[in-house]
Amino acid sequence: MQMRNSVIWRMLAWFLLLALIPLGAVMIFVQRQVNQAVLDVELQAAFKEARLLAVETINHPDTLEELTQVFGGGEEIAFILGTDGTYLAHTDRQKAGMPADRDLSREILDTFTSSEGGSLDNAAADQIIGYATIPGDNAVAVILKDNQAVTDTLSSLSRSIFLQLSVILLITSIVSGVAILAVINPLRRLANFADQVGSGNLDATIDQTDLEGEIAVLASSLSSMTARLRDLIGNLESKVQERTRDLAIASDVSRQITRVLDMDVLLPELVEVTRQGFDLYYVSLYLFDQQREELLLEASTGREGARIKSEAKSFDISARPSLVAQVARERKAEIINDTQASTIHFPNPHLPDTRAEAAFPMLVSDELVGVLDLQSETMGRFQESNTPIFSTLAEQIAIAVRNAQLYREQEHVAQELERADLMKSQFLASMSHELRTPLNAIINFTQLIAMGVVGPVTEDQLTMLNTSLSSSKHLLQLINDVLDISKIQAGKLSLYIEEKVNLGDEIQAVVDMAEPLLQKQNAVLEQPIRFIQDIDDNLPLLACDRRRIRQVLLNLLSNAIKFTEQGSITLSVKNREQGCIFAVMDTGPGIPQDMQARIFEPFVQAADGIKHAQGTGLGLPISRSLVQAHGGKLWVESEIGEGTTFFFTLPFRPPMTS
Amino acid sequence: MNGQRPVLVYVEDDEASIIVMKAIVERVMKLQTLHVLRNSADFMQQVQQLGVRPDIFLFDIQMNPYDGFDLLSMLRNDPQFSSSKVVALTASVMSEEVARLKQSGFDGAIAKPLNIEVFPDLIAKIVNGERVWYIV
Repeated sequence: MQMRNSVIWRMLAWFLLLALIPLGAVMIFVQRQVNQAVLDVELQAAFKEARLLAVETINHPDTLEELTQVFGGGEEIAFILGTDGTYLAHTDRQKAGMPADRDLSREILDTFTSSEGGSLDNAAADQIIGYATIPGDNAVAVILKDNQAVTDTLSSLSRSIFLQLSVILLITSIVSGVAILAVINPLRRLANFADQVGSGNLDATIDQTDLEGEIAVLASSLSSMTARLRDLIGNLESKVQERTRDLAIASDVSRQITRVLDMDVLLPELVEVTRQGFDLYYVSLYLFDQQREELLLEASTGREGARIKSEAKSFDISARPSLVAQVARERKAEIINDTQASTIHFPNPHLPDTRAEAAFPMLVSDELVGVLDLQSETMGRFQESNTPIFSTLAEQIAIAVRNAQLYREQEHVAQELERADLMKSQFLASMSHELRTPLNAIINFTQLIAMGVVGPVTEDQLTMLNTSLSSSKHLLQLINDVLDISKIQAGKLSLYIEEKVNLGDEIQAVVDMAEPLLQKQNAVLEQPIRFIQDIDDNLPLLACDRRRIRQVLLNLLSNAIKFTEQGSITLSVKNREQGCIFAVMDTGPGIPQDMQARIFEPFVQAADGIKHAQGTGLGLPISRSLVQAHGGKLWVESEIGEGTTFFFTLPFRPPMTS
Repeated sequence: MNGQRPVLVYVEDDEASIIVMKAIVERVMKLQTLHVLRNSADFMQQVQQLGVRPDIFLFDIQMNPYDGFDLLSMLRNDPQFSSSKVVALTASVMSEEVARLKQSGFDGAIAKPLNIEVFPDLIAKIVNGERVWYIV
């Protein structure tokens, strides 16, 4: 402010200075004009006086001296100049008879004679000179006025005028300056204030002392406007803060709830966090049973909540006159801001302090999951402005609840599956033991009886016993195959790999087992089937599961025996670079093209009712899986009427076992 | 006891299996040296009470309270029976169980149902110190 005032004073000084310059110029011009006008009048007056003197001289030629005395005197000198250039008479008597060129220049003297009369300004001597020729006499009457006095008078007059004008100007300036200051300063203060307000400083104040009139009104209204603005913005800020806090709580709740998938943990936490976060009296959550159209209190806050929950029963949403039921029916949020005056509010004796209630539907894509109920001790707690946050919260909770429900279902399904899997394993284990133990006894008893160990057996009895025995063995094989295929399909097939297995020994063991079957077959045939062995001598020692390889080979050989009624069966084992290649070739009926792939599917043989269906229909699928588990391949080549050859390869070492 | 060899001890809880074994040993093999223990509880005590040193133990595998593996480790911890052969009788076709039998230190395994024609030879081989894995 001090700075600005000094600036104003400096500006005022400049203004004064700038005003004085034209004022001075005007004064000088006016003075010139006045001087000229005065000079003209003087010159006229001097000429007229001179002419008058000349006339008087003619009229009174003897009184020249007196005349010069009358006309002269004071500041004026009058004289008569003779043609010879001397004074005929002069106001200064002593000058009479003396030459004039002592006082006046030759130029001026010449002017006197050049015309009848006139006047001239002898500025050099500050004299006004009037002259007139005296007719007939050739003398000149001259009036010589000293102009110094006039000039002095005029100058002093101008000075005084200039001075007065300056004083007036100064006074005017000061007065107007003060006046300007009186207006400008408060205006400046106002501007300053407006500036601060404009730049966001709503705490700025304006000093209203010594403000008057319109300025004071302006200042006070500006000030009150600022105050209102401050209030508004302050209010807005507190509203924003409130909303931000609400959002933070809501997002906090949302974040917490989406993490928890266990509803029993989720819901009690949820209502408590909501109650605390929004500073509510009581928060509860009802879940909706879609099939029965019923609501059940699932979680509630505090000790009173626990009490209410213990008494709670599920209720039909159409039956009960309560806000929660209404919200469930209409799937729309409802607010009661004065519960005591409301007819919908269902007063609960455990919640005596409830004054406002708001309930929000928990919806997941228009499907009602439940209702979120909020109660407050403050009347009017729930306003339009803060309901969207609760609606959003209710939606979030709905999603979380739905997730938890889905998770629960998933978990249930997973547990069921796990249990089913375990049951299957247990079933397989018990199949292995409980089914086979009695079957083993049956087989052995039958064998013992057939052997005559317990007494003599007739032919008929023996036939029946043998049938019974082979059926029992078939049943046992079926059980074993089902166990194998279950293991294969469950991916639980495991090999017991032994190193340096002598293939020759294993092949011989299988041939030993197969030969009785062949003999049995040949016994009923007219032409026995020849069994040809084409086995390399230098078979390698390789790593394999001996039992499983025997199982595969026996399966192929017994199949060949079963399906061949004439010709031969050839077992060929060749040593190759990658391992061994086995071939079981028969001269049986052959397998049609379209069946060649299907015979490796479980139960196909049984399903298609192929004749000689003495197998389980699982042998080939199991064999193929066993060979593949060893890293080999099993395939078939067959021509109808020509016969069938099954091949399989066995690498030196199964993959991934070393 | 009449000093016949080999002395066989069969531990089995299935009565039908016991009858089969008795028929094979006593009627087919004509041996009177079979001792049957019907439960695995107090196993070692029962073995001590036999009053004769067994040549071959035949164990059923799935038994309570102790299974064949438990009985094997009990025997192996007693130097008295260090020269006795221990053979598992198993109905299992599972490769992993056979592998487990071998790893546990059984001297052999014979598949159920018993092949009555082969069984006497297997016993003879075992007495001779051979390891017998007659599984298939």
